[in-house]
Amino acid sequence: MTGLAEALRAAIEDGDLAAFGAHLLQRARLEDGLAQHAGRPAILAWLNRLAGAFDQPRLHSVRELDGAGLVVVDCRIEGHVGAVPGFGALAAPLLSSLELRLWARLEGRLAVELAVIADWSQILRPAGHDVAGAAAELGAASPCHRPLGELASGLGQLGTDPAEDGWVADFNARRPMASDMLRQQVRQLLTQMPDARLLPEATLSTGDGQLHLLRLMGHVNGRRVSLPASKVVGGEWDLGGGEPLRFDSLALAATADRPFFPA
Amino acid sequence: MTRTVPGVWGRDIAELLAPQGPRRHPLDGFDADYSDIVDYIIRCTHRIWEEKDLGLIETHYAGDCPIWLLSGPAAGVRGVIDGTTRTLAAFPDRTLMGDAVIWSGDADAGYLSSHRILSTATNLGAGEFGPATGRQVAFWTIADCLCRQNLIVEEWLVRDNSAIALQLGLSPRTIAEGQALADTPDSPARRWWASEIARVRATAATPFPDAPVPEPAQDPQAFVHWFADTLVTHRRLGHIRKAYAPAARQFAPGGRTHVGHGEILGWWAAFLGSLGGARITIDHVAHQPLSDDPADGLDIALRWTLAGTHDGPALYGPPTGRDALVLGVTHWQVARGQIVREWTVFDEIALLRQLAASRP
Repeated sequence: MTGLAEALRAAIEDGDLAAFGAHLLQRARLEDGLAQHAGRPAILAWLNRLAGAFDQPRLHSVRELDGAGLVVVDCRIEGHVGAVPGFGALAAPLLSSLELRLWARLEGRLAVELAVIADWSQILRPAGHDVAGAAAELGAASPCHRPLGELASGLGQLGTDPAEDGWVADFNARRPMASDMLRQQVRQLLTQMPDARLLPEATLSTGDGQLHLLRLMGHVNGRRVSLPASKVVGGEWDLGGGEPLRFDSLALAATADRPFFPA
Repeated sequence: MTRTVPGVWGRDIAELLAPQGPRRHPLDGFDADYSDIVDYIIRCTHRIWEEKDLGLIETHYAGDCPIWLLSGPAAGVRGVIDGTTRTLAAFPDRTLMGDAVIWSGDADAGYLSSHRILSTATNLGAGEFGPATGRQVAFWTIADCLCRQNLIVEEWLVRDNSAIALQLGLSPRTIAEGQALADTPDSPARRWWASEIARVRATAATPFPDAPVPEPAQDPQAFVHWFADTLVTHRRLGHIRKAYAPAARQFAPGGRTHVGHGEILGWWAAFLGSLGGARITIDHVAHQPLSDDPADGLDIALRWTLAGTHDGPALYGPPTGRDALVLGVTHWQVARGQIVREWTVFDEIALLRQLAASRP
């Protein structure tokens, strides 16, 4: 273990941001939904805002896995939430939980690139917050370039890559999912983004299963979607019933409202 | 095998700025507290920019040092000091985080460093981008410096100025058009653009390339030239799937980030599709192992010049028919025979300025 999970716990529960910062290079970069944070100070500020949304946050179900120059920390943050960073106050403070999965690419023992998969709609929706409105606000504040290129390079009419295999290949080829929960999730995702495609970025073995870092790509309202996503397939990290594909659904919804940069 | 000169990989800023101990490079004429060329670049950048000791430029730049920027060449210590001062006035808290120093050369010929920098800054003062906006920006810069006896004797500087402009809420095109109004037909910038375009276009044509991809770890120079000839010159863009890992990440001008073959190929197609008849010269190549473990891969730096005719609308607006020059630097992290990370940096505002230039 690298200690990153313990450092994350110390930062969120005890306010010891320096403990987490000690695992980062000064020039580290963190991707969280539509946002990019450059440099250790910006990343620690982001972490402080995350923790600060919760009154007396506590981490549960903390797991860490490392290998091949990567570290993954998986946890659930619980606490009363009065306001969600960037989305304002809830109608009333609510005991909430946020599932968070953090992937880090290491140079030696220090993280240089981090991707966070967390979906604040898990908190906003039960609180009765206007999730659609929140997504629209987020999108409007996040200008983007026009899309370039294609989703699946060089396949043309083939559509799917015959060299792909596994769960990702099943998704990209639109083959049926193994469980009702996954089928329902995929159906909803493809309704929202009919050309959705997953690009494998990294895979770690959990012993008898796999933990995938993926990139969810596609188009919504003519805007390119490119979001970190993650999924457990089998093994000890699969809590039974099959884990859904994890991604920031708020960021996906927000993409439709992103203005283009001036031409 | 432990490298003689460790790079930046895996080393935090506190380690980089700590005293490095005995010299690891022959550095005749360099200040005593520099251990090697990586240390020199990282440390003097920190001293000048972050410790704000701008006067050190006098002892670190040759008096007549040419600075090659796409916006137009400059020369001399005073110009460097004045430019640095103006930038600091506009972005007083600018950090310059050295992400890589890819070097070549030796004490006799001089060391040529290609320094990739991730900067964060707050626009608190007026400057080349206009009045202060109060916004925070993050952007890539690559500085190629030829260094001898503690002096930078020649520099090629590329900065992602369009990314800065966009993060400030500004239009790169509008900025470029304003700059172009001040251009005259015989300005140093226009004369240099013309001479460089002629130089690039004078390079000999190459036959249709059909050779296998060189293994970049074994022959980085061959790989670079294969890429330039096969993909850029002869537009065999499908070979991107050979050159890049499937989930490769490309950082392109304008603060763009592209992931995977489709997006990366899309950017190259749009770039080359904007500049018809584009020809490229590779002006310098350097490479260093990322770490002591060969499995981590290789850093490759290539400085290039491209000339074409603006005859396509993909990236830079409606075609103008004007000749265009691009001075660019690309850094690759290569592992298992393919590019896994790419940083391509050039000044899109300076490119747009060429396209906006008034006809003589």
